[in-house]
Amino acid sequence: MPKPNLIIGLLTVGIVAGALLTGCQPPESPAPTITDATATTAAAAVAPTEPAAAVPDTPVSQATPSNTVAPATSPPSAAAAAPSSTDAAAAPPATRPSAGATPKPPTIAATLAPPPTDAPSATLPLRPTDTPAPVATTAPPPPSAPQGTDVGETPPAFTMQRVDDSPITSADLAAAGRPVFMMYFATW
Amino acid sequence: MQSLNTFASDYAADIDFYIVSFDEDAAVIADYIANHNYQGFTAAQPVGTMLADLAVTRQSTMMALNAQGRILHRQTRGDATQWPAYLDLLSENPNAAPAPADAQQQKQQRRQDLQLPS
Repeated sequence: MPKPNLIIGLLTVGIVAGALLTGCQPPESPAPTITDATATTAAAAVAPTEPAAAVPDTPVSQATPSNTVAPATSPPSAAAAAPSSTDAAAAPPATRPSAGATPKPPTIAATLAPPPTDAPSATLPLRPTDTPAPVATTAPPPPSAPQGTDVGETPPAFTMQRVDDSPITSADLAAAGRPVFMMYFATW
Repeated sequence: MQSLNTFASDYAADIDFYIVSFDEDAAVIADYIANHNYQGFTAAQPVGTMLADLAVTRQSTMMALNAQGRILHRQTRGDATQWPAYLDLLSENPNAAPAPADAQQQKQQRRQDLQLPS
């Protein structure tokens, strides 16, 4: 029976070798590009710092040349801890090509890490055309009527005083936005 | 003869009504409003040169301003028979303005009214 440390080491070496064979960048590679996001995520998901027990056995068997190692050495608790991930990754086993033909494991990234949807786009600067156009904050003034006291004209500013001594001006009346009827009257 | 106090309250929801008194004591016009059932009218007194600025030279003078402060109609003396039509117009459209032909006609009529008899 092989030792667990040896199995983990073999697993790690196999995963890294598989990633290198498929053209993926190792975890210590330079900054990833936007177009290679899926491959980068897959490589990061199988990085040596990841616990081996968290990696599902089905994708690992694709990446490693020795298919019999991973299922035999995977702890039963790990398989029970993430059954949904394993099921989701192994959903189309009939249509999956052989392990040597396409060792690219996109399903690992899909099940273990969220897709990098906002990371690259969030750092992109806004183009000048994306900035909203300035909006006028003040409405254009209404067409002004000539000042005067005849019909159709705007009378000059005036001030009245209510019975309770509170003043009211023509500007107050205009600000109220209501029509006004005034009757000039005296009791004598 | 139709009087304002018979129908002005029907437009109080849409139009502000003021009685601007020439009386020196504001309480006099307030009592007049109460005793003659001018419901919805606010009693006020002119301040400064308001009467001269608005060319109010006779009593009673009535004036309607639209919501923009533009004179829609004004009348000196006479009864209030023609006012419901203007108040209806302001109730439907607070910014109603007189037609240019109507404004010109009223302007000429006002000039004739202001002329002293020979």
